[in-house]
Amino acid sequence: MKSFFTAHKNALSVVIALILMGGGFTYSILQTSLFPEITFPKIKIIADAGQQPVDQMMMTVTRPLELAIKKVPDLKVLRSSTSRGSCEISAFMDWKTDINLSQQRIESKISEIRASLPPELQIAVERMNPSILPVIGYTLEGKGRSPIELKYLANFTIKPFLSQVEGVSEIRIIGGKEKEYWVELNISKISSLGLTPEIIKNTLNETGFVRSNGYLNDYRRLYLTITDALGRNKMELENLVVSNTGKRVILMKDIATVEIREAKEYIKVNANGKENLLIAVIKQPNTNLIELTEKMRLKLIDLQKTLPSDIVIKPYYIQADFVNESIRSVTDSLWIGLFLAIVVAILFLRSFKASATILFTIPVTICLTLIVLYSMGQTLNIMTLGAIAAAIGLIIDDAIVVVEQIQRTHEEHPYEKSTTLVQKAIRFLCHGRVLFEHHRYFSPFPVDDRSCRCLFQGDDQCHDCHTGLLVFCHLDGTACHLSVADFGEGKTLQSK
Amino acid sequence: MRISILASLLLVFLSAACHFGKSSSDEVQPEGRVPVTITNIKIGALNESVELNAISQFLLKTNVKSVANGYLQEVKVNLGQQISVGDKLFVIRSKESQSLGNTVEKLDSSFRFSGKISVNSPGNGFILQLNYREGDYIQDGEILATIGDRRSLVFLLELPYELRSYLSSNKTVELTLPDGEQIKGTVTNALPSMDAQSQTQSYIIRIDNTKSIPENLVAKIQYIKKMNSAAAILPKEAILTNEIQSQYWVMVMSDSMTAVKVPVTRGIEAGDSVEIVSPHFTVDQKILLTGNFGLPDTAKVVIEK
Repeated sequence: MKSFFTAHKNALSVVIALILMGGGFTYSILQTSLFPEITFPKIKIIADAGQQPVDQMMMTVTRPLELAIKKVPDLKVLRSSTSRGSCEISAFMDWKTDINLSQQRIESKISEIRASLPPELQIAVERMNPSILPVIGYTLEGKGRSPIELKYLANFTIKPFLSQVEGVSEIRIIGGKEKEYWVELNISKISSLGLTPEIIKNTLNETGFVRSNGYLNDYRRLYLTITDALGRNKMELENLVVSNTGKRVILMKDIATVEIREAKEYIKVNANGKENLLIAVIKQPNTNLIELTEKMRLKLIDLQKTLPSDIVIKPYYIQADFVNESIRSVTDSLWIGLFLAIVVAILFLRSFKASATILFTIPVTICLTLIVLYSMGQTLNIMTLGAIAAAIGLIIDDAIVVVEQIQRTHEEHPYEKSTTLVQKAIRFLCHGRVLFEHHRYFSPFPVDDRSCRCLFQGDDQCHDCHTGLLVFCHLDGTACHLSVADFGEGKTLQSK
Repeated sequence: MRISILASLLLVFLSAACHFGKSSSDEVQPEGRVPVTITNIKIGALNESVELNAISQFLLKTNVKSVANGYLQEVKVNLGQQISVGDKLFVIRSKESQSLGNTVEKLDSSFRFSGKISVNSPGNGFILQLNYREGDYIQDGEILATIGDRRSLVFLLELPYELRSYLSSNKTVELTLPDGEQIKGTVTNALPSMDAQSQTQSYIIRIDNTKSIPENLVAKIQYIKKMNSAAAILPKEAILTNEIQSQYWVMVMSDSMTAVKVPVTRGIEAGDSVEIVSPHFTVDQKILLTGNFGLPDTAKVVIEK
């Protein structure tokens, strides 16, 4: 009687072919990103109160907010940093909690105390997710152009154009300067004319609006009318009427000097050693990183045709490069391992059959892994790729050992049937050694050096990472947690 | 058969290619050149001025007073009526005459006692105010009417104190009346007190008094602060600036298709005209009017008609 495998060899070949094709197909459609799409149990509260001094900020904003958030259940750690006019609170929740629920709880606690907070305070509550971190970063340089000009160009030309790319959630412009009109009052003049800054402020508030007046009917034609009191340039601001006593019309330029200046910025952004702008691309959660990066590259080539020739946009951070590198290292380890295993089998066992077994086993295993990964809703990221890379090493190692053992047993008992032969071989092997090896870590593949500098430094925080990534890792041999925290747009952003 | 089909196909392709070639050569605009329009420097008068108010007023107002106690018998004038010196304005009947009647006349006609006293106009002008009706009892020295002297009608310019230094260039001014009429006036002396609230001083502007201008009319005056009668003027559009308006430049044609950036210093700016103080442009130099924004230092341009 023929064995099962020889009897159904055609059907089995078809199954193997299907698995291989399925694996190839899932590989092509699998999402690729640096980190798995995990929402970390961290909620960030950012409060902005204009220009309030630090001590006042601490007393009136940070303390009350902290006390309110502290009441939220499942809160583990609360960490805050207060600076002039802003405060950032990070609430680390328990891993088991529903993060959406925690966010709502925090929001409701904040709204309870909202009335006691300063009225102009703006509060944003956000969940932490790798998708809120930029995936591509560009520097924008323009020789001889002012920071204001560059920011205008970035905001009104580059941002809309790059936002057209499918899968982009936000194009964030960091740095540059805003333009401000400065009205410097001449104190002696306003006091002799009986004016106060309050009057001037009111005058300014009352102008600068566009209001609809409704429809106007004239000669059977209907007109839509507006009152347009917008100041359009410096001259119009200078000629603004502050007061009209009948005897004299007092204009803004009579009592003040009007200047256009760069707005004061509290964040300094340097790129390539100069004050330049940074453009950060943030992707939507379910977008393929590699595809997005390629589309972005093509779009940028298009954009550069329309920009002035002295404007240079250079990438300084492309997350896809690290992912591509990880994928490449996995494929490299696969091919090298496969090649070595076959060479070993041919050289030492002198059997083509044995090496052919290895040649089939490994791709089928990997393809099955990919199919399972896809069906589980996983993506290709440094976590899964790392695991695959580690697993490939194990498979190749084990494949050689098992094949070698079967080959040896076969040589010892040349007339034994294959079914009993294999059983004998495996039983011997199990006594001989425990196959499983623990603690294969992520050392075989490269990681994004800057953002994960502290990946293996235990629980230490890393404040040094350029995208504001805080990465820490618990390595206890059995489980590896990776948590990523965002420090916002940090106080000292630097690029390479 | 097959050859003929091939030939016809080839013909179709060729004609299409010819058509394509023609359409691309129809493009007038050469590759990479910006279409612009040009302008020239114009030499003309340009001034920087402030608009001020002037209010018409009679400097001299004469009161016509009663000379006796009695009853106002006749009022010969109306409000606003133009009068000359010596015109009879009022007739007063003294209260003695009123009570005695014609008794005195009857006693002795040589007294020529009529009891009527006439009040005449002391000057030329208009009746600004009439205080009594006919039949009213009036006392000696009471004001019956106010006459505004027409020759004393002037405009009072409310001049902020800090603009006093420009007075020398504003000896004669153009007054624009609300109906658009313009009259010439001469700034003479100032009144000695300031308006405390608006910190302005009144200056008397004398005008030609042939026109009848009412009192308290507000006229506008372009008070010149700076003036250049032979300024090199460019339209404001032709001048470019950086984001904070600290530097200004214009794009000047260096040959028929190249425009270069030339920094300029501005002088007086009035409306849409800007004076160019330096450098000195000749009248035939071509300066970009439109299409100049955002051009690099040396730009290839094409001039549109």
